[in-house]
Amino acid sequence: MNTSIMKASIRKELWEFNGMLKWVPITLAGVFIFIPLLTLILNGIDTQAVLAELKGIAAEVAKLTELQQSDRMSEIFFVSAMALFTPFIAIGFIVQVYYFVTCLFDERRDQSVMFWRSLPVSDEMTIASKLLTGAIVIPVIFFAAATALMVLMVGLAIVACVVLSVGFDISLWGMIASANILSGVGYIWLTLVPIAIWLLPLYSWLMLASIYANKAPFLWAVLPIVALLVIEAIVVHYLHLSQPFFGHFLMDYFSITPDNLAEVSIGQEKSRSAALLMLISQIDYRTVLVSVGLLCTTYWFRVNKQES
Amino acid sequence: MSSLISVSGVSKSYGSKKVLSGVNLSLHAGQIVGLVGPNGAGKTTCLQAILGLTDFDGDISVLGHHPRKDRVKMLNDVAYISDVAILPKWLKVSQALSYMKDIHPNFDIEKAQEFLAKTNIEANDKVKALSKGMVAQLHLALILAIDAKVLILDEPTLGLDILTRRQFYSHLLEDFYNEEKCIVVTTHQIEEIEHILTDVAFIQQGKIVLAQSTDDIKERFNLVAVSNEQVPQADELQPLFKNSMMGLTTMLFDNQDKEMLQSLGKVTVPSLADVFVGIMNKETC
Repeated sequence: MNTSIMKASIRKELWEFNGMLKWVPITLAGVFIFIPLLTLILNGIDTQAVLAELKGIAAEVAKLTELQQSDRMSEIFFVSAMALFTPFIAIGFIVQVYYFVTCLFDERRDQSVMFWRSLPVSDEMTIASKLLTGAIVIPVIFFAAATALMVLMVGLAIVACVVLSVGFDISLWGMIASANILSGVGYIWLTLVPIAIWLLPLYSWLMLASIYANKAPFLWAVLPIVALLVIEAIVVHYLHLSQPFFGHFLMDYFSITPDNLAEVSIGQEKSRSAALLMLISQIDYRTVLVSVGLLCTTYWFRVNKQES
Repeated sequence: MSSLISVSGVSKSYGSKKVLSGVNLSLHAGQIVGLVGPNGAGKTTCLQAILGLTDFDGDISVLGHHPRKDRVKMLNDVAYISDVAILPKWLKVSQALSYMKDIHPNFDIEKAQEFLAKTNIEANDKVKALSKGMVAQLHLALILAIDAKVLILDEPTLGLDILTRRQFYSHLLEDFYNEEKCIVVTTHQIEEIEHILTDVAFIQQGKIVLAQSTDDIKERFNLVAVSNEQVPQADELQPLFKNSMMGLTTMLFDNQDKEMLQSLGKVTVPSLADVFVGIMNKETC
């Protein structure tokens, strides 16, 4: 596969969805930054309260000093980082779904597909670049936005540490050092590829709907699944079967429950890798095979569907 | 001389409707071929088969490539404009140039920039901000900067004003065409491009009904202005087409003796549009 053509194709996708991929993460990060600032500005800064809070911090230092000796600090940081990343991952997922539903549909609707297909870029390359953009590049953008926000917060924490250590002789450097910030964020970034593989059947199904639909691709993506679930429910009800296979399979495959987490959690010290292990345990080679089948069908439509 | 494009016995059906039926064409370097036919005659389908954009029965070879199996390799040397409106609206001019440079081995970005410098198009303009004529100029700039051996144009000036249409074809001749290249163009405005065509192929109901050089066509067909008294005598020569107006009947003849025709009235060389109308109305005449 020609990497320069792949890069150019991915860049083209980013140009096309530039507005959404730039402004949604920026807005989300802005919400995290400006809402606390706005609250502070609207409520006013009470000097007495700040001083009281600083005294409270000093009182807590003893406890924190104990805490920074233990592994608990890195766990607390990891959970906080996850809490920060989660809205970015969730909003990023919505953007991904939108991208996959429209990526092959829009160029057929505006007939620019005739221009793209008049250039020496293979249909395999087009499908692969769109899949890579949606499954990896878009999450990377949202992960990067969350990471940038985290860097900002860590920067603020360092400033606070400097102020506390210089002005109040309170040292929290040990606490920051024991938070294992890099490895915590690294574990979150490691989930990127397992998430992509886990959700590959969904992504490839949406791409198939996008290439197949002449109108309303989102309905084409949703209605067949809903119809299948309804038909299965009716069959199960009338034949008095124990449970619907397809519906149960979908629920089982796409749900992440505390049970899943418990299955892979070995101990509290391993909680950072638990999310990663849980995602890996959700991956099933059969769904990967189904995804490959769906992607091949998408490719077939790309090659053979008459566009004009 | 080996052909750049060879189409042999190509047929195509959509369900029970036959769109192409045993099409044979052979196109060589230096030719500018007009593929002309009424709406629904199969022009676009024929071009799409040549470009590998649709499947077909029969054989097509473009620069030695099978258009379906070697589409990507073939498109390194084949450029195509299907309609001016197909550049995506979100695309910026600078992005189009950068993308073409990255993906096309035969794209000369400096040539495209030189062409665009002669227009009012700015590098930061988006396609949606350009007029239809400017979009055509941008598309042409992208295509002319490709060192392609074959250029295929499917109604490239549809919806453009006459000034832009003329500009389009003059750029095509000045900036693209040479004796080593071949251009295939479909258009409804045959009278506008007949002076640049070296060959024409008339297509009707999926069949090529005439494929000849424009010089041969001008030799072969004659237009005669026949007075009303001589119409019965001229009818015996089986004109392809006749049109009566203001007491004078104009008749188009195929391969008739020129001296004989001169005895019927004033003989002139028909335009390609006259020949096209005559051929298309052959059945009804």
